[in-house]
Amino acid sequence: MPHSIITLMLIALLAPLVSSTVCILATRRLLFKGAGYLTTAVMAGALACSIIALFTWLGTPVDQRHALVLNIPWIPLPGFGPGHALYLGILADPLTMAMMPMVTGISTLVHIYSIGYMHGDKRYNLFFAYLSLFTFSMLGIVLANSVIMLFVFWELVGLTSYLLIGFWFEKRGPQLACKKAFVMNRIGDAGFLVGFGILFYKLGGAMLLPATADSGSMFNVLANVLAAEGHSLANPPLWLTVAGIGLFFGAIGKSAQFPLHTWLPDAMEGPTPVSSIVHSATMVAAGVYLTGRIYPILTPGAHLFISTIGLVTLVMAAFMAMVMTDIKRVLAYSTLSQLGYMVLGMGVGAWTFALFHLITHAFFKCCLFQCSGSVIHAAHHQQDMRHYGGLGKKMPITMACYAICTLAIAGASIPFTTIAMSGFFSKDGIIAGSISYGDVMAHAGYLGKLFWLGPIVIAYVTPFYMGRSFALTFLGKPRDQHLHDHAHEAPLAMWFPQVCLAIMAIASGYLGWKTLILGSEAPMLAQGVAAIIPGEVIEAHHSHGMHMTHALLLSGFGWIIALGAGILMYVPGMAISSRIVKIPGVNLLYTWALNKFYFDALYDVFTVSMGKFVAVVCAAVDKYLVDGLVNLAGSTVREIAMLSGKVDKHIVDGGVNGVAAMAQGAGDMLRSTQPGKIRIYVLMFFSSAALVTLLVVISAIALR
Amino acid sequence: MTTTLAQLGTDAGLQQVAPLLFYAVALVTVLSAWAIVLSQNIVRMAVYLLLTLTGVAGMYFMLDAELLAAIQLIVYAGGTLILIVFGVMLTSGNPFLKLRPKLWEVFVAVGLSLFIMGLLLFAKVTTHLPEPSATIEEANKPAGYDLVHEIGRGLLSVYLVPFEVAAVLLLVVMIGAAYMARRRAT
Amino acid sequence: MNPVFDISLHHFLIVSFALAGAGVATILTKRNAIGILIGVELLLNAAGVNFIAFNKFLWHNTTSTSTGLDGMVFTIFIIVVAAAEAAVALAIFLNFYNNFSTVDVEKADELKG
Repeated sequence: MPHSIITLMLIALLAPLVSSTVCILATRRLLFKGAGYLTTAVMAGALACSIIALFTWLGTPVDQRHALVLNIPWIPLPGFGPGHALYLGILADPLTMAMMPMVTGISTLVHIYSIGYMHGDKRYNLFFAYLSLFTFSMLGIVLANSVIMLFVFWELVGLTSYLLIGFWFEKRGPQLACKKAFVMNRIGDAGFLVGFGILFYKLGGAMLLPATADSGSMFNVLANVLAAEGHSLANPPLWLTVAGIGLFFGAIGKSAQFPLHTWLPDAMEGPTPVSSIVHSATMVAAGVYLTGRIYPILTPGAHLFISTIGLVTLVMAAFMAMVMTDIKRVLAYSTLSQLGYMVLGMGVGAWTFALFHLITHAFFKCCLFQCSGSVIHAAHHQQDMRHYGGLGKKMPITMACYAICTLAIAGASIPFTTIAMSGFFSKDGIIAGSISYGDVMAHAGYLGKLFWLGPIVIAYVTPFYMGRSFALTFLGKPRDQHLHDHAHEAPLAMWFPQVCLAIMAIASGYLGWKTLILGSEAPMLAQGVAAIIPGEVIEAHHSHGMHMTHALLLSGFGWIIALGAGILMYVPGMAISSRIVKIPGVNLLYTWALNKFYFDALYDVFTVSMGKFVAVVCAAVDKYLVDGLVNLAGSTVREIAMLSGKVDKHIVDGGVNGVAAMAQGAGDMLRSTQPGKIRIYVLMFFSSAALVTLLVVISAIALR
Repeated sequence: MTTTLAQLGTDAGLQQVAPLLFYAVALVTVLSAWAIVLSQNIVRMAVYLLLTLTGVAGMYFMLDAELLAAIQLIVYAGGTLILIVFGVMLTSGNPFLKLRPKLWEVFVAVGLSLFIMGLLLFAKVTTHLPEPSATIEEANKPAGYDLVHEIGRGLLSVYLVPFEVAAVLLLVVMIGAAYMARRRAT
Repeated sequence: MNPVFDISLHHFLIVSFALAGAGVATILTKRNAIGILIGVELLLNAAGVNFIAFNKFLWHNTTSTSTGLDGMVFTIFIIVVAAAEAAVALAIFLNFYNNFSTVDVEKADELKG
């Protein structure tokens, strides 16, 4: 196995950090203007490194493909015995190989897009610095060799997302949005820390991630610890379930799962390139990636928890996406829903398909956001789709890209063939996994049926809301003539990355299917699973083959119907839908969805009323108890002060003034000896020297 | 005692001429030093100082300290004096400017300096100085004795610490002088 | 010993005293700052002559830790310090001249009490 891969990964990791630092320090005019090109070029270099590494990996024989690690001891942990330490370093395994080109590639395209979108911003260079730093943090997560390093970069992602979402911090909306994102992530990170602490304590600080048998990797140590306690992964102790759920809480925060999902739609307040990268390659991907990394320690209990969270998010977000009228919010809730798919996939054991969907989704969602950015750009920052309509004629390239990605997210395919968009390959794998998980969970009654029903229903809802947004934006008659007249196609720097992403949205599914899932000799991601869980591939017992067929049948035709319904219904505008939502029942669901199922209100009421209650109690204590004491103390001090004032005035002041007068008199006398002329001082010096010499000589004679 | 020209070439001749040479050099040194006191013109002072310094170098020669004499000429007469002349040029619109002291100041100053000189002479006369002996005579010196060699060796062994301190001092002076003498932005 | 023709330590000491006296007198009488600097140089030279003379006539080269060159080395350091002092002093004078447009030390009386 060539070790050049490690070097390439290291370059790809550190290059964005360097360019980011340069751009932060860049205040000169040349670097200010060139920041976009510099960071873009560096990011393209990182992409090249990742691709070379991927092909080097694919070029080696299958039996020689083992994970490469670079471990640098950072903090020794002598308390756990000799040799224990926290390590910094790099892990390069199949999962990393697959993620790196995706992250760097999307980041490069977003950088290019930003050159066009952020043109003329007064903090132009800072934006690119933050964007590169953001990518650096995500690459750090992807390459992390241990949970501790993963956590460091995890927090760095939190920080940089805060900076980026709040990039236009002069406005109220971004201020609140970045604060909300930060706080929601901290709540999730608290869970992460709990899980981390449990593992750290139980495993004696062994937090290395690689699944090779020889190292002190946490999975091997965990197996030993479980064996010593008389447990196994199939019969796990409670602490392991708690630790797994705790770590997954971090993923809930970052990947915006229910109940911490509310920050993600609000993060739309940031610049559109930020939305496109947050929603695809970096931040929300981090949570799913983390779940994939810690997958081998997840117990059946944790699996149930994760898949339930994923299912709730999936369904809820899809309904919200159906009713929103802000184009970016539709996409945001669509991201939530797709993340729900991924997390569901993790929970139900469709490990490879969840990560595959992460990669394919990154491409088409990034493209969708860039298209929406172009539309908003063209429509004078009008984001409400009810004002759009008929923009397709004005922006043909954007429309084509949007259409391709709509098909991709809908999972479009020609039935009974493998000619399909990327979403088809990845999403239907998850659906199949969920169906078989529903079978396994059948003894739970309705719950098992829900795992059957949920993903399939949403597979119909997804094309519907995407068709709706497409039709409202690009088709039909212009509903705002003034806006329509001024609309224009995006500049080259903006449509070029869109086209690249659209091509990847078509191709990534098929390519990934061939290399990552099926593969000729050994599928790449499956190798990763096999390496991490030696001897026990959880997916095996799901008997994928049969359910895959079910899924394909159910969703293979579904997308045509749903997409068609969505487009046809909304080509004339909101007229038809406004009549539908008057129907009782639908009416209720509509109102709920439109108000985001009242989550924000719930959090508001909960935190605000709690805060008010605490404030009232505090105020009462303050007023009666603290103030009373303070006033008492105050009046006492005042009396003492009056007394001491009299003493001070007559006795102390008299003494002080007398001393001062004496000092002044002495000073006046001595003053005359300081003429300030250098020669007088020299004269004094030599006279004194002569006198001292005289004294010495006389005393020497006298003593002789 | 008469000295012929032929005798000058011998050691004995030098022995006889040496006192005369000493008196001549001492006279030049002391007279030019006091000429500095009496001179009112800064440029003349500098010239007299040059004479004094050269005379002191001659004294070093006669005290068998040839290296010191050379250093005195190079560093003092060649360096410091030039520095002083530059200072005169830079700080005076008119180099022949006369700044006369008051008469009483001159009396006080000369009186004090005479007092100090008398004191020193008194101290010298009353102090018992040991007889000159065991000086580094030609005969005691080991074969291949070289003063410059010995001083160089000494500076890098016994006197290494003061040597390094002096080096640091020079560095500090260089930076400090450049900093102080720089042109202010105002 | 003939006090006139046998040149001894005393002769050199007297020259050194004369130099020192001239130095003191120069420092005290000159109003030009550079004149004062010249006086200081005279004092330092007097000290140098003293050191070399004592080194020549009184040094007993018997101790093992010494090379018998203490006086000479000391004089070298005196010359070094004198050069350093001259540089710093001239820098100060330049500043003084820039601020007061003169080198008359009588004008530098801002420390007057």
